[in-house]
Amino acid sequence: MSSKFNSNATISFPDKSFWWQKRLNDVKSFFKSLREHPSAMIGGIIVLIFILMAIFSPFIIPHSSTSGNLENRLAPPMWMEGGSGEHILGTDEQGIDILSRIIHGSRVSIVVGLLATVTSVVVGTTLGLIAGYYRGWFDNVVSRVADIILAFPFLIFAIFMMAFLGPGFMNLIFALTFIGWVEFFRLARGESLVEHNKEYVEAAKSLGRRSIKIMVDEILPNIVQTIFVLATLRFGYMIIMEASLSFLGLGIQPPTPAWGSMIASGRDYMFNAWWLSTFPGLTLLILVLSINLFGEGLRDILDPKMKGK
Amino acid sequence: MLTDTPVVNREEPILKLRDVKKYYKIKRSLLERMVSPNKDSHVYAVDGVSFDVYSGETLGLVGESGCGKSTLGRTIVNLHGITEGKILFKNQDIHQMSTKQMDEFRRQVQIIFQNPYASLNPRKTVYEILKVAVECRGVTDKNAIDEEIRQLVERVGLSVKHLDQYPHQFSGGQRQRIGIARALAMKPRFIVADEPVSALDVSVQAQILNLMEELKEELNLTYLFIAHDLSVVYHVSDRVAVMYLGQVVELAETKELFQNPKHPYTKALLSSIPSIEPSHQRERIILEGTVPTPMEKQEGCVFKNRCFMKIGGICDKVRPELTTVNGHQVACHLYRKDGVNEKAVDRHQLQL
Repeated sequence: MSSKFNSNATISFPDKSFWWQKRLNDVKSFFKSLREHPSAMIGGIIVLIFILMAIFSPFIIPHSSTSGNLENRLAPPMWMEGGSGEHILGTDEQGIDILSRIIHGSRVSIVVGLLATVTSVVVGTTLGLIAGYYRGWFDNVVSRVADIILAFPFLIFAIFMMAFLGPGFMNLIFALTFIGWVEFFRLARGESLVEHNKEYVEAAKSLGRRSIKIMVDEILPNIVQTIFVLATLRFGYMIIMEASLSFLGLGIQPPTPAWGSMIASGRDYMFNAWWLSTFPGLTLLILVLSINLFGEGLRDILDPKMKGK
Repeated sequence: MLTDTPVVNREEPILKLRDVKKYYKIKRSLLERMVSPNKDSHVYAVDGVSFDVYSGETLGLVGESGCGKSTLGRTIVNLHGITEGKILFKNQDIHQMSTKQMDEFRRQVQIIFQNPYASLNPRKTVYEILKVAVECRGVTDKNAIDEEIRQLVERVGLSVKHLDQYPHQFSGGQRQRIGIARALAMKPRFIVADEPVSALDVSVQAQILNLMEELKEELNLTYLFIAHDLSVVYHVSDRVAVMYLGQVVELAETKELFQNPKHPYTKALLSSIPSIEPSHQRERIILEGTVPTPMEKQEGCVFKNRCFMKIGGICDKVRPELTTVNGHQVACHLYRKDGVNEKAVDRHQLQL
């Protein structure tokens, strides 16, 4: 019986062994729909450029990003009087090339933003799935904690956390995650509550599937897209948070270049050397704007509730 | 009708319900609880249901929406716990089973859902849906799983080329076939069919009902068939139980129940079936009022405030027991064993 079936197994189940082809088709159709959202497309390309820039920053920076020539401090950008092609965007108060610092600084922004978002997603989604599935006391406790955290303004709470923990890379991630998980928790909990009431979950239960399997294998695939969309949008927000904390001196410490601390140190020279703060600020604006454009396009494409509108 | 199917074994009930109650506690805010701490209110979804289902039969369960029939179906497959009472499957209390026994129970008792659009995971292909079901039965060999899935889809009238498709690519009837295949993957003995055709077109309904009857004969299944469509129930059931407001008010052989309803509610319900033959026009009984809210515990008979055959104070005070009268099980004071109310029955029948 089985041998006969084996011989034509590939005919009976044509696509099964080529599941990746289907995924490839998904990706293809995704790019196709991306083309219909030009703003999302442009946003996505810019984000991609920034990510590549962050990865290859040691190879593409024209000058050192941590040490400069004090004799050449506060040199203006190349197109202004006294500027030179040597330092395209000028130099800062220590004579360090600003373009190099911006390129190198993209590392901190993107790594911190990405890591904080990923940990927030993991923590928030896990707790949200469990809370939405089991309800009861666990849901009550975690929801109340989330409410308390939400009652504080994000930045104030982050400042408090960083002041409490002290500056540093891991502390920064921790502080951002500590606040960032709440949104993902609320989203995942809400979605999981909705999915839990659908009959396919009851069907899985009546098959005797274990709760953890139902959460991971049945419910999660149905809410992962919504979470992914929120994650994209929160990624931009996390970058701003990191910049804000670095601006206040609570985030990444100099001499490691970070956009927030660059803006902060340029404040004192605002009136005679405006380029110190302006260029990192503009870069931050462009990156976060691009992320948001991409995220919004993604929401239109992926979120089934928005489909067809 | 399958009344003369020989496989029904009247000696041995496969499922016994004994005074099953399912109350849902209504959530109240902290403030409300502080103001009146002892006033917990409940929804009395199922309120004292007892009946037996015999191996090999189809027991129809009818009642209007909100009467608790779906809740009862779900408690039987142990998707919800119950508040009180006992559900015995093959003489074993399902709420006192070990995990291992529960797995075996899950294997033997399956459910087919009403809404074929919600009962299939939209992110899984038919193959994945059925694979999970077959694996849940404990089959691990990949080739055996594939072979079984192939047999399943073909048995329910689909083909292997459908396996790669997602639920949204199917029509309602096809989806219901997938739902049936998933239930069958466990090789069950007993299936709770929770309004399996009420979301489908009439022509598709017939196909699905035929499929279910074929499967029943082939695999010697027992059905608890929940529906609100009386004609559907008439065609599939061996016996019919009528539910009203969380209680079974009448239970009898299908033919007997439809020809000779005893409970006033059943009479009213059956009089609502339209007939195309003028000679068969029955007099319609229009019930007054609406179903009382299930949030209040009913004293006396649940049907008392709409009953057109009410006999007086006893209906308001004493809850009628389900008693056997001429082969019917009926819960109504008109049919008390002492025969006191025979005259009252006669009087009402004259009026009709």
